[in-house]
Amino acid sequence: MILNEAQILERMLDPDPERRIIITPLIKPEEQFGPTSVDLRLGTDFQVLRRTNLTHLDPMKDPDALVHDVAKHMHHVKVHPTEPFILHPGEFALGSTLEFVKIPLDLAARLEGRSTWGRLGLQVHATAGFVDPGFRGAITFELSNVSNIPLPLYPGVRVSQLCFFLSTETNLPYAKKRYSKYSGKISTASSAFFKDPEYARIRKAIALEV
Amino acid sequence: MQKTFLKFVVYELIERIARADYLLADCARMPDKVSPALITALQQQSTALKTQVLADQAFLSELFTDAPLPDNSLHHWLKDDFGVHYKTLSALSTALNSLYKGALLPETNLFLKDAAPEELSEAFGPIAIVTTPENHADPVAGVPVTGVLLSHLPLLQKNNPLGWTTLIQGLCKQLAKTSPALEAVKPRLKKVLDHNEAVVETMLMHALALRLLGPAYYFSSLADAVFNRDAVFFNWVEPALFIGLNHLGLTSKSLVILHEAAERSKPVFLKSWGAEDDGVVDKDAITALFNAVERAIPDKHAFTQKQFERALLLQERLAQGTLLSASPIYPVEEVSVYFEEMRATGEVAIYDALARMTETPHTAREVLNAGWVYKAERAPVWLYSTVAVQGEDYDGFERLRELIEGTDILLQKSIETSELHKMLLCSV
Repeated sequence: MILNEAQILERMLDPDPERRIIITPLIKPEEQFGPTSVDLRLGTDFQVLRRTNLTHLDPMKDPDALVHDVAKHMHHVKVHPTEPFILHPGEFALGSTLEFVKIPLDLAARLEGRSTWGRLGLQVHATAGFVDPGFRGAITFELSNVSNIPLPLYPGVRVSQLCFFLSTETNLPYAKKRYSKYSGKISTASSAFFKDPEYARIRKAIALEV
Repeated sequence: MQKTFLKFVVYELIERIARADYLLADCARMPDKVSPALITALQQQSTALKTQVLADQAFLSELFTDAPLPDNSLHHWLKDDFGVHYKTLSALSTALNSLYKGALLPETNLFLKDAAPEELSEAFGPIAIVTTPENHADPVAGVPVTGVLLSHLPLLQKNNPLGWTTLIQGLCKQLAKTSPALEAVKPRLKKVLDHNEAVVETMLMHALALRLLGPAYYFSSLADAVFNRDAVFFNWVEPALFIGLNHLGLTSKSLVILHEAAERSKPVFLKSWGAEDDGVVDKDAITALFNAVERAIPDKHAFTQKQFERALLLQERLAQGTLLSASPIYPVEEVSVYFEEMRATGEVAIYDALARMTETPHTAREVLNAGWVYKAERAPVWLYSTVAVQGEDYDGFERLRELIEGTDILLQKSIETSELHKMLLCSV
C-alpha cells in the first residue's frame, strides 16, 4: 500500500520515534507534499566522473588501492547555495538530497523524479531508486541529462519526490545489513562497489588459480 | 575532578593527532602538489607520535579507575610526556601548514557571516583568514597589515567547525581597542589585573568573543589554553569567562563540571609550566566587564540565552547522526494533537497541518554550541573507546578518525543547509 499525504504526515508525527518518518529540514511542507509523496531538494555537493589515465576500475585490485583509483575517477564539486551545478547534455553526476531522511522499519520508499524536471530531460536516478526500511542519511541522486540543452541545477530546488510503501516490519534494516556501504552518509558518496563480498571471493579464487 | 579535566585534555590531544593524520592523508591525494616522499615521511612521524601517546597504557588506564591519581603522576605527565607529544604535533603542524594546498571550506565564511556580523566588522575592513600551525597565536605579529581584519585558523581545525572559534578573535581584538562602551571599565580592570595592559586587552578580547559565541568559546579557548601553556588564561580569563557565562545566563551541566574540574586541576597545570597560581578574581569587576561587553555587543549580534536553549535541544540529533540545520517551530506532540482534532471533526485541512510542520533554521553559532556541549559530554567515552578498548580487528584510533570525520561533515552540512534554508524562506 502506498501512503497518502495524511498517512505520511501521521507517520511524521508518530509518538513512537522508531515509527516516525524523519525528513529534515522541512522548509516549505505546503509546497513539498503531494497526494502520495513528499518533494525532496537538491543538495550542494556532487561527484562527477572525469577522464583519467586509468584504463578501467579493476575490482580485482587490492581494495585500498581501488579507493585511490575511484578517487582519481571521481571529482568532487561543491557549489555555493546561490550557484548552479550545470549538468550538460549526456552527462552523468552523483548528487544527494539536501534533506536527511530516516525511514522506519515497516516502510520502504521509492525515489522518483518530478514531471517538471522530467520534461526538461533530467533523470534523478538510473537504476537505484529504492530506499530500504531503516535507511538514514541523504539519498543519492544518479543525475543525468537526456536532453540536448545544459541544465542549471540550483541547490535547494525540488528535483525529486519520495513515496512510501507499507511493509511488515523488517528484522534486517538497512543500517544493520552486514554489507551496507552507505548507511548514515549525509553527503554525496561515490560507489564502493569493490566492497561487495563477492569480489573478495573472486580475488581469492584467482589467487588460488595462480 | 582532576581526572575529568585530564580526560578532556588527553582526548583533545588525540583528536588533534587524528586531525594531523587526516590532513596528511588529504595531502597524499594531491601527489602533483606535494612531494609524496615528504608526505610519507611525515605520515611516519605522525604514526610514531600516535603510537607513543597510546603506548602509555599505565597512565591512560589510570584515568578510567575510581582511585585518585598517584602522587605527582599528573605533574610528571604534564611536564614530560604531554609537553613532548605536543611539541612533536606542533612541529608536524608547522610542516603541514607550509605544505597544505587544500582550500578552506566555504562553510567557514558562512560561520563568520553569522558570528562576526558585518555591522560590527565592516569598520575594520574585509576579513582575511590566515591558517597557522599549532601553538602559534598570531601569524602576522609585527607585520603591518592595514585595511584588513585578520582572522587566524589553526590548520588542524580546518575541517572542524568546533575549532573555528578562533576566527572571531581578530574582530574582538579590534573591538576591545575601539569600542567606546568599554572605555569606562578599562581602568577598573587594569587595577584588578596588576596594571598589566596586555592582560586587560586579552581579557576584553576573550569576554567579547564569549558574548559573540557563547559556551562554544569557553570550551574551545580552555582547550587551546592548555596546549599553549597559557597561565594568564588559567589565572584570570577562565574564572572570568565562567562568571560571564553565568551573568549571560548561558550555563549547562557539562559547563559547570568542566569549570570545576579545570579549577581543581589549575594548580598542577600551573606548577608543571613553572607558573605562579596568582589569580584572585574580583567578581564585581568581572560583572562590570560583562555589563560593558553587553553594551558593546547588543543582543541582536550576541549569542543569546534563547539560542543556547535551542542548541541544547540538539544533543539527541548529534547522537543519532541527524542533520541539525533546523528544528520544528511547533513540537511534534502539539501538531499531532492538532491533526487528531481535525480528523475527529471530519474536516482535514491538510495545508493548515502542513504549515505547522515547517521547520526554522538554526544559526551556525547554535550548531557550534550544540557540537561543543555534546563533545564535552561524550569525549570521555570516545577517549575510553580509543585507548582502553582492545580486541582483534579493533583499531580504536581508526574508529576515532571515522567519528571525527563524520561529526565534522555533519556540522559542516548543518551550517550550510541552514544558510540555504534561510535563503529559501525569504519572501518574494
